Amino acid sequence: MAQYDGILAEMVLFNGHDEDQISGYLARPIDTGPFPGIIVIHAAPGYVSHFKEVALKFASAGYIAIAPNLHHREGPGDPEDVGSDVREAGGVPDDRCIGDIQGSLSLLQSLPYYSGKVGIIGYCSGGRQVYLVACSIPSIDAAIDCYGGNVLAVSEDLTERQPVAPIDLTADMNCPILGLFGTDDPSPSPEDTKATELALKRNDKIYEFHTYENAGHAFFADYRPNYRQHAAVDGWERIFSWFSKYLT
Amino acid sequence: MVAYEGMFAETVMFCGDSGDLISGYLARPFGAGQYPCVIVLHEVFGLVPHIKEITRKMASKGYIAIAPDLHHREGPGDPEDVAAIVREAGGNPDSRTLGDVEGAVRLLKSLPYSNNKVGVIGFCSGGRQTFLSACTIPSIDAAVTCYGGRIVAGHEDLNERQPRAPIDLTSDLSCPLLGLFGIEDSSPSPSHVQLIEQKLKLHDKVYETYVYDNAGHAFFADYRPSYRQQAAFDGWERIFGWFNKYLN
Repeated sequence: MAQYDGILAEMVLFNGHDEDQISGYLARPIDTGPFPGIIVIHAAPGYVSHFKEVALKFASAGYIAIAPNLHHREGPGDPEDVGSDVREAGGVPDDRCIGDIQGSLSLLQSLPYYSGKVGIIGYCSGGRQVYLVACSIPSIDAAIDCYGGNVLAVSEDLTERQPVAPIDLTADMNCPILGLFGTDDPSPSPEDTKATELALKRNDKIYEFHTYENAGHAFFADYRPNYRQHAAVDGWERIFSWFSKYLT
Repeated sequence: MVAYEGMFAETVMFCGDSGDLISGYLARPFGAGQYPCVIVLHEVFGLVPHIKEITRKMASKGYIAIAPDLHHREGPGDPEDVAAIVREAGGNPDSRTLGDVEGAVRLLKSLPYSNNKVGVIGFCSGGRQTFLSACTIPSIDAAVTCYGGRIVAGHEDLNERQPRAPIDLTSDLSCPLLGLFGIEDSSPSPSHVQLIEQKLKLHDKVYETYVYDNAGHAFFADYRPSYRQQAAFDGWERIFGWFNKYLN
């Protein structure tokens, strides 16, 4: 008999920061569970279909994945246009982001097939947000930062919307964090990620950082020229073993 | 308000060749339809996760997609191990493949949310089987062959399981055919592609072929080094353009 493999995925609305209703893409295995949850944070270019594919990939591997649209309030519209509006306005405000992730977590907690363990993964600006959230929401069990820039923001990078350098919150990091980077990336550069690693080490945190040769920013984005198959395939293996280790 | 989008994907069993019950991965949008249908024929490596991803991609674009497991009878087991058994036995018998594809057509047409139009797309050995199916099963409405080798086959390539060169059936091709190839592929080589084009032209068929520069075999396989982002990105646009044109 063939092994049954079923998933269900759909757009959902749920309460985010300030009880605003925001949208997300929820993908899950069809079974009674309990399944661990994963919150997928999209990149700065916008809430494009690639991140729904990422959510589907997690669902087919046995996770409940929710990809909140952190640009929901600036939409609706073509995700790349909305993404550029958000960038022009100075990016997603950090407090709003944290509230939206808290809302995503509450959504997971309301699902009868949820195991109670949750991981978070983000790409590009979402990688920075992962670092921030992992230092701000104590109930996160595992985090993965994929080439998040500006974790080490200096004072001229700080704004009203993003007032704190995530690295300064490292002492509050409350879960194991995996970092996946490319040597050719200017932001975060290999020097930046070394500094982050050092901060994690100093604070006695559980972390693992990997920096791929011949890869730069966004090497997981198979729809962009940045895609690097060797880094993406190895990276996915590390992602699944990280979540499997800390969420099951 | 956000546009609703939902997808359902699962392993199903259906009647294939000789009434054998075989498995497949069926992905579809949530909704009443009527949705066009696509049969996805896997590579020689079997119904691996990549093929399931392609099936889900079709569903996320508004198609009911089924990837039949053409190696079902040699399973169950790890798709790659099962594929090795099939290869050792001389590959899938063409008559069995055609019966399985016909079974998939019947399944799709039985779904109350289908629009009764069925396309076929196949990769590698599935590209050859696509050509064969489109020349043999009149109820197929559009076909896309992605680097199907041995459509042009010499006597030494023919055997009991695969007794005819698909190219010799070109006069029976009953639907528009799109062919996507890479210039660095040795099977099919650019000269094979030319022969196929000549035959299609000779028989006055509706077809389009593209041979991508800087791409070889399996340029859609993002989990293998053969992936070429440029060819894959353009190829996906052409695939959806083709099915959109002929299946609506």
